[in-house]
Amino acid sequence: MLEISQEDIAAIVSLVFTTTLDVEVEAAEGPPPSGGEVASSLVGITGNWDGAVIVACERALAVRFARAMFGISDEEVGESDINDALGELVNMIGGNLKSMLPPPCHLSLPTVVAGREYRVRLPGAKVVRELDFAANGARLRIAIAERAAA
Amino acid sequence: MRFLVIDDSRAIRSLIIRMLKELGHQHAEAGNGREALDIIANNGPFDAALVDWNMPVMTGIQFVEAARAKPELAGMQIMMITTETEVERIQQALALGATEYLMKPFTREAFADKLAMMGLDKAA
Ligand SMILES: [Mg+2]
Repeated sequence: MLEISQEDIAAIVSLVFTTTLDVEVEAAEGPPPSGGEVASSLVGITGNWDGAVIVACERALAVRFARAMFGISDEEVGESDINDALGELVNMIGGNLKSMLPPPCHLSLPTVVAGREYRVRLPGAKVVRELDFAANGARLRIAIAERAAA
Repeated sequence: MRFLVIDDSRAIRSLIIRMLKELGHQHAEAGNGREALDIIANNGPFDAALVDWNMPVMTGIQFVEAARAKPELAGMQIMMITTETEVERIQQALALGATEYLMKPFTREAFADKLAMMGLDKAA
């Protein structure tokens, strides 16, 4: 059973965004609007707890994150920059969440997925936390999927 | 000072390098521990290596072990910059020869403070 609360997750997301982007994130009501481009990134956690942390956001927010990390303009941000920055975003969020799990746990390298869905399906795992945020007028969803103990 | 920035994320390397430049330092960069050892062999020595933990090919902790096995690199300080924030991990890294530890995400101020603590605040 995952013992990390919604508040813990919100605190970590807020820390990563304020520190890296200088942007405040706030809880968002209702599901994010559908139809737009969504960039998702994922890190797996294995060990004493098994599952994954998934960050899905509007492409505009991913561009902004890449821009802040690379110190470049929106026009200069390329696809590989977005993938790299989003990978590090989920690495930071996942890594900080991992420190709240019973050790030892290991973090995988991040994977980035592009699409139009905020939901990523992981066979054999169940989404146990799902939190929606807004940052700079764009939506962001954090999901934690837990794999049932064998 | 000369720094070697080692992280598999180009975004993090870019962020750190901007901070180093602002502080007046020089840098080289590597995407994993293996690449870092090659750069040190060809362009070393460096005053300090700033090392991520989770990287493909050769992880940060493997890099620390490999670097500390080389007597000629004894003068190179090593700061881990990572999301691996559990006490056991920090102790492991320090026991293997890392000098300092900075948790991601970090601010400019926290970064500059750590360099100052390591005596690495003098410009190149
Ligand atoms: Mg990494």
